[in-house]
Amino acid sequence: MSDLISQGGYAFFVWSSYGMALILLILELVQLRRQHRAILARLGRLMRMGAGRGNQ
Amino acid sequence: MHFSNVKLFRFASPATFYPLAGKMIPWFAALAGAAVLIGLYWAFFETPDRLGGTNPQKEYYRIIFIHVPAAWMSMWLYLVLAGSSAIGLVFNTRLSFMMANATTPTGAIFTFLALWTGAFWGRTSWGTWWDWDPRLTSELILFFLYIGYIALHSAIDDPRRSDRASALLAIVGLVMIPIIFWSINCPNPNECAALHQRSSMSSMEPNILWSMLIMTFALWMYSFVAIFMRVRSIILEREADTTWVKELVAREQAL
Repeated sequence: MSDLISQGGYAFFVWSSYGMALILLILELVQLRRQHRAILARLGRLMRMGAGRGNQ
Repeated sequence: MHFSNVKLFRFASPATFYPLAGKMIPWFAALAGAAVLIGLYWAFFETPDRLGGTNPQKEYYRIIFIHVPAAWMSMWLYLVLAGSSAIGLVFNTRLSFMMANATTPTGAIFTFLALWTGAFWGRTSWGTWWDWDPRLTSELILFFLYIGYIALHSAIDDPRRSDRASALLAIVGLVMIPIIFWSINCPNPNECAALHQRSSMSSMEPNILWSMLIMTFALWMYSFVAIFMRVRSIILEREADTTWVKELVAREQAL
């Protein structure tokens, strides 16, 4: 296990590469999920406002 | 014949593609997750620690399993971007432009990752983080092309005009892809520095080759997930005034 982590003394280089990939790809998915939900919520609010006007 | 054409074009309609993409995302995500686990296990436990031969490498060469797949994706996603831009310009299909817009940020991320991981590999293997040689410079230009597409698209307010302008930029930028490819797979080693050695698939250690190919498959599947998620958001925003989006939002609110 410690062999895996140390990578023959090149841990900094190997894990900086994989770490950045992991961080960016996870962040992208989180941002996409939030964005989709935010758009659905905003469109829902707009529709309710429109419906409210219609009832007056 | 005529009927099948009609069916095919149905999938090019945002209203049809939105739910279809939604159904496919979990499958692509499952494939991406499985491939990452298999690929990384293989890459870190079933490959030699050190490589001898004409290009000796120590453990740091394992950056290859993220570097090469990311660099391949940066070029393939550019082909997807330019291809859907061209289809959009020729056939004037709305979904093609939306796909082009959705592909760009993911392509830019992979281009950045290719440069980033390349710097860490370069530092260990060549002793430098960066060098203005043709390969690195052309990949950097590819990154600027992706950023330029995003900047140009967001600078023009009218979406139909910004789609067309940035599509043209994407197609013009296509010239970079063969330049990157040939500067890495240098046909004549005397004309370009031999830092990136011309690597033939048949001379590679099979464990290294397979780990790399599985990681590439994983990044392709990831790209489908990210691009489909983004295109669904773009579809909702652009089709917000249509009946089908209003019905969909009403259903989501009722849940």
